[in-house]
Amino acid sequence: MPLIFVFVVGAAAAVVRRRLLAVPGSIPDAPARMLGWSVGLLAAEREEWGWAMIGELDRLEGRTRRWRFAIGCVGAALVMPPWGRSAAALGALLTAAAGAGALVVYTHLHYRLPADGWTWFWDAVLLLVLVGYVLGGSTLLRRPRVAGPGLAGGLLTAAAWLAVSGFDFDQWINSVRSHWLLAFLAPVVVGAGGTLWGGSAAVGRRTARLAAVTAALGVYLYGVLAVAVVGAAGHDPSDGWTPAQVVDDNLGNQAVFYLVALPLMTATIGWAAAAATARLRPDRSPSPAPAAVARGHRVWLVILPCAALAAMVLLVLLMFLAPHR
Amino acid sequence: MPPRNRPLSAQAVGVLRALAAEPSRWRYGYDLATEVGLKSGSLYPILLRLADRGLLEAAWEPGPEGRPPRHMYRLTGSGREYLAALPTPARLAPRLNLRPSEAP
Repeated sequence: MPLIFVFVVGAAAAVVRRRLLAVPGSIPDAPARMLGWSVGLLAAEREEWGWAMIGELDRLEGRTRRWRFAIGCVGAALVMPPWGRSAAALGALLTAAAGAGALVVYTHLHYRLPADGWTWFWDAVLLLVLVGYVLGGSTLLRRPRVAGPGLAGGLLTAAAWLAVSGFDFDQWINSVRSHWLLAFLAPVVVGAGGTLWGGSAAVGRRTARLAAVTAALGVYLYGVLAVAVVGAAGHDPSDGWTPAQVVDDNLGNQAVFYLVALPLMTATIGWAAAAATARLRPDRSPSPAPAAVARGHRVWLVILPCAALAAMVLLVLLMFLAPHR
Repeated sequence: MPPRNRPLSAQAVGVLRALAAEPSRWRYGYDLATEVGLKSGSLYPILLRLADRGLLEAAWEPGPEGRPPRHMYRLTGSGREYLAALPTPARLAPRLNLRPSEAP
């Protein structure tokens, strides 16, 4: 749990830093930002139509009118052909998410897990997370130069997390036993590789995010399959837990580890690796933002990452110094 | 890419008709959407299909300094021929959102 907190802090620091880096007065309004994001999903041969939408939105006055126009354009950008090879990868993501969801339902029914109001709440959250990952993956897959390294990075990350458990199906359910350093190393390779491949930190960050989404869905599918097959086998009843409680707990652990911890770690460490790689090997395209950052902002740019780093180190130390179960 | 001989939707024909009202005039996307009664999410895929079929042409109008350029559209010769070749019921099918002054 402390690790999750560490990575949430890291993500928050990244968002704050991004806001501080923006040149005052240059921040577009929400419809323009949303449209700018969505037109990046268009295939290269349709890029002109994205610029057409941006140019048209730029001339529109009135908040409601701008929102309506931008939302319509986002919908058009999401479905506008051609999808090309991204469609196959999206199909794989959908299959993994649907398979994992179906296995969770099967496990609930097969092991007659207890159900109350919170069960439905967490199932709804799980559904939202799975749908969100598929949607996020679908947008990242269409970004230029991201799909190939992102999917390869997803495989690498999934393999690293499987290696952490010793590739042991029976012990998979709760095991983080050895080689845990691999789970930290894989996102570094993904972020740095994506940056070198794509030539910019932005591509590296997206590559890490796509790797996080694909690995999360793939490993979560593996995890719930393990729970569904193994159930409470080997459980010692003298600990006071019923078999249904054991299965329910294991099912929840899969979600926490592989739908929360894995993607957070992969995305944030990958983001840091991409930024570091780009700093060591600067973008070929000039970035106007750093030159325009005010002096006060620069101070914050140093303080914030340092504070986040210090918090991370402290929490990691606390975690490892705490008595093990 | 869709087959070129696939019939156009009523909405696409509506866009062609709006452009045909003044064939030589360049039109902006938002103006077209307002006139034909289409949301932007429907308009741009239609414009894209019409451009793919060579029924309309597009050009860029440079924006003021620091602003993005604006896309403009007008019918091509093929677009005018396509519209002229449509049977009468299909030409009347699309319901345009005409202003009172433009109503027949």
